[in-house]
Amino acid sequence: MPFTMNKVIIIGRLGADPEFRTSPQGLNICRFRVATNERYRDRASGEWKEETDWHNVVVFGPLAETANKLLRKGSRVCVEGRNKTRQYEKNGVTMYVTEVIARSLVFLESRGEREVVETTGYDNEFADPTSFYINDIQNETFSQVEGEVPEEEDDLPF
Amino acid sequence: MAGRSLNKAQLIGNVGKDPELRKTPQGNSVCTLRVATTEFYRGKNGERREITDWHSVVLWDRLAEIAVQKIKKSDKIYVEGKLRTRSFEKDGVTKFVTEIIAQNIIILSRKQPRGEEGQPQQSDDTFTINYPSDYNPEGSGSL
Repeated sequence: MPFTMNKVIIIGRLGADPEFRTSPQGLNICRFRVATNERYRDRASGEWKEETDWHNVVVFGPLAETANKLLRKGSRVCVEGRNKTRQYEKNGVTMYVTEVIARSLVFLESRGEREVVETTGYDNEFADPTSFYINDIQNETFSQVEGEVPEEEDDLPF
Repeated sequence: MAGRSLNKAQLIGNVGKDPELRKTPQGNSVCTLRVATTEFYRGKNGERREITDWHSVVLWDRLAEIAVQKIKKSDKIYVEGKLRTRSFEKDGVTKFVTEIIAQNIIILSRKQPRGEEGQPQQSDDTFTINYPSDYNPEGSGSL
């Protein structure tokens, strides 16, 4: 039984098509960025403002192939996973990047299309399945894919 | 109202050191907690291993002031909030840091002082500040 919890839940849209690659060890890795939006009232001026947050999502293993196949720029997705910060070297400087390592994805589309739930497929009751890949991803660098904020379509209210 | 997107982070972990209260140039109270979570996994040879992740949790205003009084190093706390990434310049290089902006904190366990008969004293160990949905705690402050 674990003594701590590390859970992130993101619902948002992809800023660009996902990146997919297979590591030399045969590990499938899919990366994409998800935008979430928040509206708030500015304390000083009282007017409504909107802020966008970008989240770096990483998917490992069997789920990575599915994600790469089903997701595109603008796709709406729910990601559940853990928050992890790692460091890497860039031009001799130590850089930090925080990523959401996905445990499960829910593929959401507008207008109530078919929803698919997929998980990483590892049922290891003793360990967090996403930790399995720790040894393989130490020096991964993330190419900063700058995407525009996807336009909101008119979603039906359900 | 949830809106069309969701940005939620939930942790249960241990505090790395006693929190310190800081003030922004605008006069807002702010405090950063370092919280550790630990995952167990199987190594390459099947041996049981563990890895610790550290999270930066930012508290604003009243939440910061209460936390500085009530939270100590090694306390186990529940944190709920949103993920936010900001950039800053250091030595001419643009760097990024991702923090959890806390909306709700619950203290789960702490070292209790003992009363006269050796019984742990009652204390109010839960405090919650739920910001209204139209309130951005960082609205007029910056780190």
